[in-house]
Amino acid sequence: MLTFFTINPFTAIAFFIPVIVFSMVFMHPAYVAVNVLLSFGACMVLTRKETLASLKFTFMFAAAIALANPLFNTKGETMLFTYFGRNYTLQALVYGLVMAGILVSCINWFSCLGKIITNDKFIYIMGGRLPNLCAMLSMVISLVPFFQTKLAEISRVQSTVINKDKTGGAFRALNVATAYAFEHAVNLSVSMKNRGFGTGAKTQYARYRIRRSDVALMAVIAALSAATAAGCFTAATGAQIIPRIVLPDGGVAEIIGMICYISLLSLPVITTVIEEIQWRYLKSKI
Amino acid sequence: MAIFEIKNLNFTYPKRAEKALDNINLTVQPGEFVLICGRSGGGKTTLLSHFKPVMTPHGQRNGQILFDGESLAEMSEREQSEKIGYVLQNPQQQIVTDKVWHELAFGLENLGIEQNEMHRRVAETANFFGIDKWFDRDVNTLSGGQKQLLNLACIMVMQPQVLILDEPTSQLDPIAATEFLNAVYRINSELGTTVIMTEHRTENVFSQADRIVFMENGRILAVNRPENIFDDIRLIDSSMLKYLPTPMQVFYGMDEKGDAPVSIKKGRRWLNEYIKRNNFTNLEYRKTTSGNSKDYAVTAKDVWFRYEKDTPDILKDMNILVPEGSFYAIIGANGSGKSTLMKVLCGIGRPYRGKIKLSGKAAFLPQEATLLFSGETVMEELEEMTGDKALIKTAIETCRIGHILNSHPYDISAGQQQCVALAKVLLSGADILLLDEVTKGMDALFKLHLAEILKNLCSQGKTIIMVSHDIEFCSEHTDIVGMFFNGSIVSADIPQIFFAKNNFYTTAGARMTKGIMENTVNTRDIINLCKENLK
Repeated sequence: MLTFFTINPFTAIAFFIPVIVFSMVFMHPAYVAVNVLLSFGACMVLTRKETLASLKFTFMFAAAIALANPLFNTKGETMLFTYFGRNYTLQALVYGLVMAGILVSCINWFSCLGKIITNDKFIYIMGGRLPNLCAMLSMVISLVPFFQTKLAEISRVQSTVINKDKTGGAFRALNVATAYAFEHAVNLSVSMKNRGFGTGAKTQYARYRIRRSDVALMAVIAALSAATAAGCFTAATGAQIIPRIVLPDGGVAEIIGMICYISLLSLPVITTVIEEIQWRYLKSKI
Repeated sequence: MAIFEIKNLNFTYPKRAEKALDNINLTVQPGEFVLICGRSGGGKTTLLSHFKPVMTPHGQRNGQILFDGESLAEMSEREQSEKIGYVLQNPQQQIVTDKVWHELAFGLENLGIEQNEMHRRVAETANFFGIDKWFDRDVNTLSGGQKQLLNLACIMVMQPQVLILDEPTSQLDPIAATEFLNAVYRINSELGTTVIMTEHRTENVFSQADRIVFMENGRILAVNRPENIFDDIRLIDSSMLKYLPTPMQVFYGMDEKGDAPVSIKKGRRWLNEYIKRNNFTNLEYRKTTSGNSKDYAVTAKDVWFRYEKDTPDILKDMNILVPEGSFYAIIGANGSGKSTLMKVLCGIGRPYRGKIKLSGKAAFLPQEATLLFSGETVMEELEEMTGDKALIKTAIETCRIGHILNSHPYDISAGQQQCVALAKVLLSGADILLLDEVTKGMDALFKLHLAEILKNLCSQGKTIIMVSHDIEFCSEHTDIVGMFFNGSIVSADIPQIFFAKNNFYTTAGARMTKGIMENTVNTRDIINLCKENLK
């Protein structure tokens, strides 16, 4: 099955890199609008719970940015109203909306990225080149929550034994935790040596194969990204908003580019829908 | 050919005068299960560390160790990691990566094993140990028992010829410990891997071992089959009896000769035969009566507690009465909420219903005593608590830590750390001491030592509440035992009655005498009853 959760991490990263780059540089209001819409679509299939939970916050955040921009930027031809002698212009408001849109879509794509590329997938992506760095990363990832719980435990334990009026409770806890961490590190290094760390060439346990479907999907992603870049990069990045809204006309090439862009951003939704259909089909056959 | 051959091995730690290992000679045959017993600090761990050079501490050494006929010192580090597996005491401190699967693969990655081979080995190892169900989990979500089983699997995935285990179950609860030891037996009997192990919990391990090695002061006291190991030692040092399983303690306590019973099953057979042979008339041991005070140090009534509004109740309608000056033990399964109960009793958590009344200040002694330490020496630890020299002096005497005052708190044994932590807690002026698994990792003789300290504190009017898995310790030394189950204390009684009534959750002594004798729950009771009959 071909969903973003099961594809090879390399395929996933091959999708997210162009998408996030496009999201950051495309300033054309139409492209931003499309992106906001489709990034929410991707979130609905990949991180539904988290996105819904923060939806209110995201909207308030975006609205604040959009409405506040004209307060700082008074340039623009069409004046909506004045306050204390300052201009509040339509162009600045549109600019704010575009900024907010870019920010929201980037946040959406990054939250999808975080959900799909988990720590172990990230290490898999990096591991071929930098095995030692990745071993370290993996250790850090496991040690951070471990020490967080330890620190909480230490301050709890200390609070019953050490008198409250003694100075520096938090500092003491940190002090104890540091000593504990050093002790832990020494023992951990012994354990690593025990298991042959640093005795010669390493290999990497690959949990993910690059399957035929990955190659196919990667080809699709590459083709769509290339077409998007070729067809509408100039148009999408060249839009002017302040002082006057001027949208460049890219002709047929731009229309094709736009279609490719929409298709690229829809991939998370499309793959999920295809999988859903396949399931229904399989089920109906039973 | 022997897999290990140690000839005239001597070892001295830097800046120490006395030898840590003194003229050790030992041969281990392939496929053997060797158990090394003896006092903590007697050189067991030091000896084990010599079986794998990368684990050996610095120091002055002479003598020879041969692995498969060749000098171990010349073995490359990579070969050592492949052929000699080593599992340490603390489950947490051996885990390197963040995922279970990555942890399993870690050793193989280091050895540069090729991809297909690596996948096969990881898969079959995960299967053998039943790890496949939590293969994708984060290591931080595992319990201590699961972590230690993972550590064992991570070593076995490298397919070593020898498995060395240094007190692997000392940090585990009894159920996890049994599960772990069963895995070790399987490795030994099904795979034929040589096992060399040190272990305090001899009760179950003894019957599985092929040979027992007894060590004391860096020397080997005796090497023999489990059934006969004590024949030689009883003449040298009879206090070593404490390290044997209950049936053997009773056997030698009655001055029997011949093959000693090493398991509960054999112990029951021997006891039946012994009773018949000596025509016992009275098989019911006298009941001890509780001499507990009628004033209560802790009174908890109908206590309900949960962590968050929408999480399940941890304490449900919980009642507990702890008499002043008594030693109260709470036993129960892992994760049943015993630690939560302790937190609520010492005021870290507040119940949302019910009342808790304490007669004095309560203080909590954590499982990991090091969490309390921040000083450079033991003396600093104590001085930080109070400026009163006289108080410190009393605490030092009560907890018997006079000989380690200048040591760094991390350099002393786990048992000694508990004693220092206990002294700190005493200096905080607490009257009610809440202890969490204090006997964890202590050897049999140190437990006796601790029991004396604790009982002495009780006689001075302190009240002790202890959460413990160590039912043998509870049966011998506490005044009341309470069983914690499903959010409350379901039954509480004096240990003798409590353990005699229980069928599964009970001491080796009670299991050995169930249906044969009555009211006998530990070695002391059984021997006393036997002696009364012989009079």
